[in-house]
Amino acid sequence: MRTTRVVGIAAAAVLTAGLTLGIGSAAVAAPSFSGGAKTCSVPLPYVNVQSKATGRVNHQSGVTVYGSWNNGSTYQWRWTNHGKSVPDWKTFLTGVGGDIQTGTAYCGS
Amino acid sequence: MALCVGAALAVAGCGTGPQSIAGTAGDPSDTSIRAYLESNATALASSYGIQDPPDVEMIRLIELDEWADTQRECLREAGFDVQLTADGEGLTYPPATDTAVTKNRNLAIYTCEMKYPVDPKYMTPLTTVQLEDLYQYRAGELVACMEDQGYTVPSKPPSQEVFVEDGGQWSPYEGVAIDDGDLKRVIEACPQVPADLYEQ
Repeated sequence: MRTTRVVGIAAAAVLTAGLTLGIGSAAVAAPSFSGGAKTCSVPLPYVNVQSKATGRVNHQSGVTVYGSWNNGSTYQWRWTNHGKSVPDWKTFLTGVGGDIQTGTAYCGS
Repeated sequence: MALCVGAALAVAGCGTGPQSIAGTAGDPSDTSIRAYLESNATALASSYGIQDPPDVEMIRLIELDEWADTQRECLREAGFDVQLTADGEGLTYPPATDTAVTKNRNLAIYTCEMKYPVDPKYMTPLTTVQLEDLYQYRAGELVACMEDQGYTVPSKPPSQEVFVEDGGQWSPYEGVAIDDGDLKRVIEACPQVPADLYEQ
């Protein structure tokens, strides 16, 4: 399977595989979302991090910043692939202003 | 006239840079731009743990869609191997396990952000008219575009009133997972923000 396109479907597949959807997803504003170690395996082998935010948002695992964007004042979704395993993950804002509504880690392809 | 923003957020004593910069967008002597730059400096220094931020001369205000390429070029000139994210709109940094490297990198990020700040029009909360236009785009053209790209849009749009009230959060991208290999193509074909949103 090349692509799992809908998170809901991905979550079901992940649960079927005995894995868990990443913690930290929520629909309330917060300066950051984070979670602990996460490992993924076939058929969804990669840890993906997703965010919905305005402003300057970042995705990080361990000591690596996998993504940094400036979304301006419009809510946008962002995705990063962090490899097969991470010691932790977080989505957070830097700079002035901004709002982050969602941060999630899930297993994907 | 060039503007320096430093630790004390003071303009005085900020060096002897050029007094005019060809192609500069935005007048740094403008009070609102000065305030914006000072807020940026304070927030960025705080975010990156910079205790004594240097004075940095603004080169020019940039458009939002220039941010990633401009920052990447500036950071590369500073010696940091920064790449674009898979969607082409963000930056990814190499691992920084060494404290000194991290500190220097953060200082470079601060400096580059202050040299090339995003035009404040992109950072100002959207007006009701902009939110209504964004709703029309996302609920119509963008949904159709994503479906054309082969993605199922899992959530129905809220009413325009709800969308405006919550600041424009809903998007057909909500709940969609996209492979790295598809991100650039999909985002380019179906931009999350219409090109003319900030031109009002």
